[in-house]
Amino acid sequence: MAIGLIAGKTYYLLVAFGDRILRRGAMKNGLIVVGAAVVSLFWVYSVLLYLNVINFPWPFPAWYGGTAWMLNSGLPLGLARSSASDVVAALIFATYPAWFYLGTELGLAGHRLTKGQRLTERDRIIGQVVDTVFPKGGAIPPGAAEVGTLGLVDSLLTKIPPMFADGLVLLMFVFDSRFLVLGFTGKWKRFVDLDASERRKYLQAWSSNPYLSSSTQILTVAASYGYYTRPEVYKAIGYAGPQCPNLPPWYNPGPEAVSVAGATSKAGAKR
Amino acid sequence: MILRGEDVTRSTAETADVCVIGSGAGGAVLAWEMANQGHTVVLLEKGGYHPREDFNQKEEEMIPMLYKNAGLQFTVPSGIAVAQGSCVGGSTVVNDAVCFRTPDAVLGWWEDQNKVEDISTAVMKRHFEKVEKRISVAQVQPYELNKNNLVLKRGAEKLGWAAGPNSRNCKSCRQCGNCQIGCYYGTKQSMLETYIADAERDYGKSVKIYADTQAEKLVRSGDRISGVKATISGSGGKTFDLSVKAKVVLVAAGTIASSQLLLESGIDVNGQVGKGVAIHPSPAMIGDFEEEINGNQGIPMAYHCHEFSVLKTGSRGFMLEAVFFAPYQFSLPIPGVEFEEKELMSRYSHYALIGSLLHDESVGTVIKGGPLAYYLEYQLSEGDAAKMIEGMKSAAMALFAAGATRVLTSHRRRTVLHSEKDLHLIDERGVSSGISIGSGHPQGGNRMGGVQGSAVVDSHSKVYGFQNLFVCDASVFPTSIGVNPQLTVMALATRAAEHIGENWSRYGGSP
Repeated sequence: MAIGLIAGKTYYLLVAFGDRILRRGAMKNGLIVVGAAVVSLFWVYSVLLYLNVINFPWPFPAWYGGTAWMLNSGLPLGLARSSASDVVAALIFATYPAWFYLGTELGLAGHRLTKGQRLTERDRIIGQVVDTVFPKGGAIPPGAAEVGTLGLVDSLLTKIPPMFADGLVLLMFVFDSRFLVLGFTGKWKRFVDLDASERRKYLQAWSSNPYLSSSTQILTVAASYGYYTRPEVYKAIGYAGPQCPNLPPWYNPGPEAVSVAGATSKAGAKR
Repeated sequence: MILRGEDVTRSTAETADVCVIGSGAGGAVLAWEMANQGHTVVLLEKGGYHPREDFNQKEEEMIPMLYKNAGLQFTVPSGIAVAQGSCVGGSTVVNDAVCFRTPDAVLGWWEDQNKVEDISTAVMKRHFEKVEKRISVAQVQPYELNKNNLVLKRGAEKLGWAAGPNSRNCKSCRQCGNCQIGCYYGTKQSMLETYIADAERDYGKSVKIYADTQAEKLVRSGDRISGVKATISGSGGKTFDLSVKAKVVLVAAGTIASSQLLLESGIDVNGQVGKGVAIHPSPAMIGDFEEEINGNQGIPMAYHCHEFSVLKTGSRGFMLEAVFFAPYQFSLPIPGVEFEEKELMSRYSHYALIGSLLHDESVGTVIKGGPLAYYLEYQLSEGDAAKMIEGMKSAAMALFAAGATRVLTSHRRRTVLHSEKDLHLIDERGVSSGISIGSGHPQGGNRMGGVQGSAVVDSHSKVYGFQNLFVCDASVFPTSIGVNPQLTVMALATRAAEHIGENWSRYGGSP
């Protein structure tokens, strides 16, 4: 039972990230598949131990055996395998999914977020990502916060299929996780709680990791969308921006069209 | 008649001779051609209907409005960005209007290796001519080449490489530089301005176009398709059902989506649907010049170098194409975080960009799953990776030959070449991961072939095993073609429409 609860809690922490995962559609199915895989792993391991095919690892010596460990848990109980213990073991194994489920729910306790809280959390993460990628200063002076990058990224998320938006949000929560931040920076903090240089280091660690770089690619593409489409940034890099309804000043009608360019240009521009 | 989703307030049903799914280079041509033969047509388009006045040249509004998935579509696991239009007119609304006929060598492969009938250069010539006339294809004039295009011209000339101006479907181009976010001036002769507009004008009563309408499933009845079930994103955020009964169904939803529709309908001909997808992956190489280039001011894609392309060599290689983008799209291959990226992007007006279009032999697969319902699994083969590296090196050589002071690669780890002596850095970084690559030409997935067991559609785009179901878009390409594909799609659609018309009594049974 305890193992099931611990496993469920661990599963929540490592994979499910509590209620932040949007539990619907393909995402929900994916979670069920992952959860089932975890339970199956426990089943396989337990059965192999019980059948004495493998031993429980260190500190138990090899001679102690998997069966003895499963029945006695290292205590001097002196229980041995019998037909009755086989039945009991099978019943206990059958309850694994229930304990696992309870453990997951226990993990969720106190962590459930309302939809509004979820959006706030999401925006907090996006805000820190865009501020990290595009801080104030440097060769293009405006920072993401000044030009409204977060708002544009938010609007982008409303224009993509809901399941994809959910996936991106999930990615952000995974990205924000203490476990991953610990792995990459040695700090037991969420991404949003890191200081600027730590955030930069963390983002670059993701970008340079061959397995994770595609994930940050989506985040930085979204950030670029919200930054490099702003008039202040256009001005800083010398991009003229939209010209319509007028003709662009650099329009060259060609040597033969010079005499009539004015008339045709106006007609074309006003169509 | 064009109906927007917002015009629809209830579920409805339609009956027509022909149902066309998709309004891009394949679907628009098919719709007009079938109407021209005297048939009634219902066309379903997932994207919205936006006349050119809507194309306000603002990236932040146009990209979500005109691109599939707001431009966020990536291959798995390679993370290659695949751009596809999603609007009435399809990718022709957001492409660079570049027109190449299918290379003779490629048509030869299709004829010899894939046993496709009636596909020789001689046969295809009249279809190309018909389409080219219709969409006003003409070669770019010297005065229309801006500095970005002239960089490639200069580089290729110095290196003695075969190169030339592109042919484009554009009339009196205003050179605004915004082809990829819709042509406000209406000079680009996209499907929106030609076949769709002509269908409205010439056959307004017999052609009905539903925008904002997703074809969900083909309804099977033995070896025929009796109709299409679709969903309209209607007024007030509600969705409505649309049921279309048709004698002939023509699927032209584009690579990925056409395979997706077949698979959702339980149609997996020979286990080949969704397989064999190529994408022309194209890394960008950016040259930094002392002078201002202002690549965004003028035609973005007006010049190419085919020294290493199938057009010259007769075998798969790569083509160098001058291209430029507005800042957001331009920034995507720029590496770095924080001030590093800013420093690089601040030189925007001094950059010239050459894309290296890889004529890929790698093939991916359309797979059910993931947050977009279907995704494209694609990974470069070792051979293609080597060719891509050669393409990037060649682009860098052209940029240096034209006077670039440094060249940036699109690796996510900042990689700057200061002279040709640094070309080895491209080898060292490789291309299998850690690089931003774009693609605008997904093709294949419902391959055409003359041998029933190895293809999805026959030589005339009819799906094997069905009497009245056709697929006709870039998804039927048996191999990648190595050049910008819109003209090939249009010519194949013209050819398919002609074949269907000539055999209408065979295909067009009762709906």
